[in-house]
Amino acid sequence: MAARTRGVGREPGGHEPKAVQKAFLLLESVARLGSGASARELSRLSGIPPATAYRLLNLLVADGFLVRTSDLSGFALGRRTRELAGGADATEAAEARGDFRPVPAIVEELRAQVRFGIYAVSYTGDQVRLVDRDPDHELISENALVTHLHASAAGKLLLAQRPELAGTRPLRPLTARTIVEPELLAAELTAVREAGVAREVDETRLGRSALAVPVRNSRGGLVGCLVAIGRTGRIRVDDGHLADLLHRYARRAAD
Amino acid sequence: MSALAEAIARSFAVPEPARPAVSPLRALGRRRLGGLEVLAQSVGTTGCAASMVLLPTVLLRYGTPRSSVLTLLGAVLMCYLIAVCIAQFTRRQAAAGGLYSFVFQGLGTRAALTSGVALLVKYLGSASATLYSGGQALILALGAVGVAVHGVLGTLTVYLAVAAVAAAVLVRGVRFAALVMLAVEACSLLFIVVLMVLPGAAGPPPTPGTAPHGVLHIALAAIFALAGFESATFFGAEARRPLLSITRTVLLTPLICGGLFLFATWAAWTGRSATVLAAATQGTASGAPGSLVLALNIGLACSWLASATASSHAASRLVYSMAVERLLPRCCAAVHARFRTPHLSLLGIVAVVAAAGTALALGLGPSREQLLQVVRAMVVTAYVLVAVASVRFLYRIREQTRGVALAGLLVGVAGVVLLGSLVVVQLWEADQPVSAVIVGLLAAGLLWRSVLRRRRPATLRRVGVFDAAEPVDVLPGAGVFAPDANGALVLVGKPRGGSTERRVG
Repeated sequence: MAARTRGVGREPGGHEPKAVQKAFLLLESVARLGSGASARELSRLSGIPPATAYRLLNLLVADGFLVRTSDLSGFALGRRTRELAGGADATEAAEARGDFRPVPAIVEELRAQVRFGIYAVSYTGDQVRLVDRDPDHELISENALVTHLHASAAGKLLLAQRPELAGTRPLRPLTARTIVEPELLAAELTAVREAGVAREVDETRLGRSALAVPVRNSRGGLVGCLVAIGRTGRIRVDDGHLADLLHRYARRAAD
Repeated sequence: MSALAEAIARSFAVPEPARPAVSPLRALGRRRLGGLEVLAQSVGTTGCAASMVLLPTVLLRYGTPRSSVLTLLGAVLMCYLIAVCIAQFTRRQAAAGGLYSFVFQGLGTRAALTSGVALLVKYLGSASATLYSGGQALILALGAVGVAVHGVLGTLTVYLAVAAVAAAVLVRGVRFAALVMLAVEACSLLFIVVLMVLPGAAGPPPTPGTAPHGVLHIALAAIFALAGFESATFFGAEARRPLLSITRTVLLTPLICGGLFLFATWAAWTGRSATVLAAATQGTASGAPGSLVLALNIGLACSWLASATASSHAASRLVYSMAVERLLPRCCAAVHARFRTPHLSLLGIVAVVAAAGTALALGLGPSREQLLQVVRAMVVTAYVLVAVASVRFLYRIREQTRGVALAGLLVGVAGVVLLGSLVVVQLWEADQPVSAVIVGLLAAGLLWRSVLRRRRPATLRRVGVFDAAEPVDVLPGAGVFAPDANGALVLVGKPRGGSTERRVG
């Protein structure tokens, strides 16, 4: 890179401006050197002159593609690098985000065993999407379930894995019981991670409670969830048997 | 792209950590300020609309058209160099302690506490002085519309009312406060600029001044009119894209204010603003129409009161930052549950500023001029320390470049000369109490550190908190979080040669 002549806005045959290529080169170098690589090391590995490299590194940090370590001297990959995986190249990462389609027979078998509504949710594209609705149980205000991640059990399960999806705007209270304090939500998500299940009680709608368990692919990546939804008081979200049952079917539903 | 793609693919299989690392500044209302609001904080602190009226009076007294423009340009360049030094930090970290946090990164606790004391005195002093001036302009404006303010009780009422409004605005929320300051500062700028170009207000071009030490006086006046451009650095934790917006603000504010000052200089030397300048110094006695004096006083009051509010705003974040580090009582770190502002430190600071401003208005204690001299020495101290710190910091993280080293060197030398000449001039003019206070304040930071080192050494390890990376910011599996000296989880570099730490999000 360093040997190339200046004054050419574009690389021969490429359509990306030089700065973007250099930025990618720096990200690749951080990935190769691992957490804590210094700006000088990155400049050397990528072959980008120090002054340019420092400027680009600062921009990449400002935009969240890189983060600085606590002593400010090293770099690590930022969470926003995931956005790069959504491009035209079908990378392994994109494959890991593949759509979740539950096996219908297994979901039906589960429905026959419980008195609550059983729904399958896919997290494709970082969104909560109902991919299998329970035909015997009507679901009111379905929109609240899928748009307000901080309120619904399925949403909390996704947030526990991807906290950045909560966004920076104030959390909206759907009912008086919706968790809107960032600290309380963080504690709730920690509890979700520890328990491996997410619950909601009157949080998307008064009188509605739900229990969600994760569905993971063969690599352990979160692809969706199974949710049991019922009337508050009738469905006991702390019921260990119900959680175990859901877990068992979640493992089978992923196949 | 192999290593990068691999890291991204791996990140989807890595579970989130059970005990996430949390930024020490989490409690504040994060990511609320947009670029314009951050700019409003800095421009508001400089109180540039009022300076557009006051600075020309200094220029006319001490300079010629050519010398005043050249000296003004030199002062703007000097402030821009300081901004370049500060920008080295704002590009790399978002802090609530502003220059104090930055000085720590480069020079350690001793210099940090010295700059902390200097900044606290600077912002509290500036806020008190501008509150006093703003209150006086407000009283004049009230008098012009028929509301006469008499005696101690009247003065007290005006100042307490202004302080109460400022406190309410600041506690209400960081974004609300910034927007109010933006509106007030924009109004005052509009008033002043319109008054200066108003046809009919012009007089004959003035004759050049002949007072001695002209260049030094003009340079000092211009630099201190620009001081405060760094106040956006106290809002790193609350800005939306802090590394970009605060850097931009710090670099732009000296240029924006410098441009406005150049405009005011042009208006002064061509005689366009003659009536306004006369009205500012002598009121209606100068023969200016009453409506013009009223408009001018409203403009000045807006600018000064916005500046007092913005200075108190910045000071509150400094106090908050020190309280988080446990240098100050924990109650100062309390954050309002709904508004997400450090309300207790805000209320305390506004109370101190109101008391000092009222004391100035009632003629108690030292004069405004003495207060400003102390403030100026503190400003120069903080700037010199941050310039030296920027060079040391870049060497520490091994990102040094020649340009910054040169800027740091220039600011350092110029600042030391300025500080020395200030103290010498004051001794010359036999204002020994002021010099003693300056020396005392400079020593206070060092004394504070030595006391802490003996009594509570653990506190010194906490100095320098900033908005550190959280697992939410880091690609899962791509960073190592480990406990630091205080036991808090922070993102660390990969330990060279064998790792025993757990790899988390």
